[in-house]
Amino acid sequence: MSENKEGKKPRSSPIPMAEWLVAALGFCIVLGTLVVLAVSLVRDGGGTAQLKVRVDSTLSSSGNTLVMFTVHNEGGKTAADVQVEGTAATVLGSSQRTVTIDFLSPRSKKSGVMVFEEAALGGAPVALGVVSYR
Amino acid sequence: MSIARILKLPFHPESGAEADRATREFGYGLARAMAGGIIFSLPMLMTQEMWRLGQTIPAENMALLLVVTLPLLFGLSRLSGFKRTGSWLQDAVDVFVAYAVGVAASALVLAILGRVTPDLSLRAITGMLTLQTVPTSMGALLAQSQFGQHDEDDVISSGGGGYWSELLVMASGALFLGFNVAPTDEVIMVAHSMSTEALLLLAVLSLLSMHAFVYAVEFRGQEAIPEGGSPRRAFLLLTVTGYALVLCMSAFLLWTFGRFSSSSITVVMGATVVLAFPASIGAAAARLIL
Repeated sequence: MSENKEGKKPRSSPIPMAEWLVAALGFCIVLGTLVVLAVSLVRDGGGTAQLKVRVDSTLSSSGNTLVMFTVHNEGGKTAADVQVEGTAATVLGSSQRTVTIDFLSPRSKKSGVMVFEEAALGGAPVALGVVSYR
Repeated sequence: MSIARILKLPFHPESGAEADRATREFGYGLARAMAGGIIFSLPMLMTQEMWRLGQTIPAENMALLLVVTLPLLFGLSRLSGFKRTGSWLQDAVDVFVAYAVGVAASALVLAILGRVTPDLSLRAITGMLTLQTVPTSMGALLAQSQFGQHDEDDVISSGGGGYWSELLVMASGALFLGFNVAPTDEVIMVAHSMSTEALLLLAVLSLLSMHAFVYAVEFRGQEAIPEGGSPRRAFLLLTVTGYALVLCMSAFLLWTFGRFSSSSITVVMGATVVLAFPASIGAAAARLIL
């Protein structure tokens, strides 16, 4: 297949040590990838998404209260369109905000932020929860 | 005595000067491969759907994609590759070098773009890198044929390495261009909106484009109809068979990307024909380039 203009096979040119090392690295990456995928298949096969929300911190800024949170998917399946709802029971009634996270792969986490008007919140604690996902 | 000799690795350099020259050439080849990998795959490295799919494609689909990609890389190395090779072992070495370069290039770009972060699980990072490494490693292997300096006796673009080589080149080209389009929602959207007549017309257009690209419109690298053969024979043996291969590659890509889940057979067929349009152009272009 690999023939030059005179129809001769090209000679086996020397393979330097560096090339052997990079090739060995590539081989290990391929092997490692297959192992990670196989483990994931065995561990997560047929599992479901398990979502947990945690408030990381709250911050006051320009008349708003920012609620920083992280959603963890501890299950073995990707969750898509994750709707996180924040509810605060204030003296004027309840204040709600919703943030949608595009997708959350198994054993991953994503952070988000929810913005409430400070005056409306009046220092009331915010409860977070996942209301829906696919 | 060098480590290569101690380990009894084949094709080790005979002298110190030869070893230095070979190492230097390998360094240049590596840099070219890295550049080629990034250039060929940058659109995919910067596509949101690819980031998402890397994390959401089922492990078995991802593993199969990797298993299918390696023989294609091997074939590309036989036909082109980033340096001249004279044995199967050298090609195998080239494949794993290209794969390592592809992973490095993908990881570098995705890390700079902030897509690979410690928040992600090992599985998610592995998925993202595996998916992106398919086009990146192909780009790394093609770097030499497109950007490298060729010696007089280089075998690159030797023009016709047999029938199976032609098919392999077409499969690689289809996979590469199909990879650019398959992750997008537009393929399914277009398949839904096209009538059966329009899909048939698109299939005929794809076939004719494939044939015209290679035999008719006088691109650089255009192939001549083989001596003793007829245009009809070339059309049936290469273009039609090639298109069948392109359809298979398109269906495989769409299945890998989860585009067939909960779709009717009509949509599956339609999406395959839609994706086969760019993929067939990729297959034809690959025959010209390689």
